Amino acid sequence: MANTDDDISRWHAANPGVFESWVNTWQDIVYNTALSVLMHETDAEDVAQDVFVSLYKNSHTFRGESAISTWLYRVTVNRCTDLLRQRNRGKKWWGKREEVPVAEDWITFEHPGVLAEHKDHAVVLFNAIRKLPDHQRTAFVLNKVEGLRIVEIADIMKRSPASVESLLSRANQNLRQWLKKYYEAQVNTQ
Amino acid sequence: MKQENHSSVERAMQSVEGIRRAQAPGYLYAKILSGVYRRQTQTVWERISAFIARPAVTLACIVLVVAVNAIIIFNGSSKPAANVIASAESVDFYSYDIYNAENLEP
Repeated sequence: MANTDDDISRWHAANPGVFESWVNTWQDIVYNTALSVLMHETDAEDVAQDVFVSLYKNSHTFRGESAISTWLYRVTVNRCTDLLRQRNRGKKWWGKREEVPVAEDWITFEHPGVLAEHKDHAVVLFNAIRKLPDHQRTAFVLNKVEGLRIVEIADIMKRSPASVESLLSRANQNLRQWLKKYYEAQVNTQ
Repeated sequence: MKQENHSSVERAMQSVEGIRRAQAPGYLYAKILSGVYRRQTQTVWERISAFIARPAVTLACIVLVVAVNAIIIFNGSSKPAANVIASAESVDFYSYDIYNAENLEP
């Protein structure tokens, strides 16, 4: 179907209120995914805005709500990955990545959904998640923060379930290694 | 000490257990509508200029201009040499003729 402005306007005129109901249904999912990957409120809002503007443009092409949710997750993680790559491009050119966090690279991001008793450890974990390769980070966030099943993640990432399982296993392994180094460094500095 | 580190790692790994979904701010729908409106009111020229202003497009244009210039320079550098030789021969030929013509004895 041609994606002309006329098609888009005609579809929205014929389906009043549908886009608004979609935003109400999916905005928390999109925002939470973007926030968990980017760890920055304003960036997450910008990505959510961008994703829903894309949904507005493509509304007339969707058939069924499950297709929308998969599409929204996919577009959200892709936009977040693009943004992070853009930000990291300069860092890669000008300096090597540190394995153990240094003060200037440390973020004190507190996810609003984390239980109060876990807040301190969650700050450390989110710093570790930042260090994961793109695909591992995406799979881990979708699984642990969004609570999606492996089959759903495979559908979003356009991979096989076995490949997603492998990504999650490597993500867990890398996070444990990073956290171990972090806590050892903490003990040594005390 | 090792045991303590191990339990810290485990506690950090389990800190996202039972995490609740973060709620989007109340003004997000208004922000989305402003993005939709901005897109609708964009003229064709604004869309074209936004496309041209992308770093990747700008870089591709620069590379293209440099490549075209390089092709012109390298292709052109061989042709003038042939022309010079040809023109030098023709000048010799004519000058020879003129010289001979001028110095012809009656």
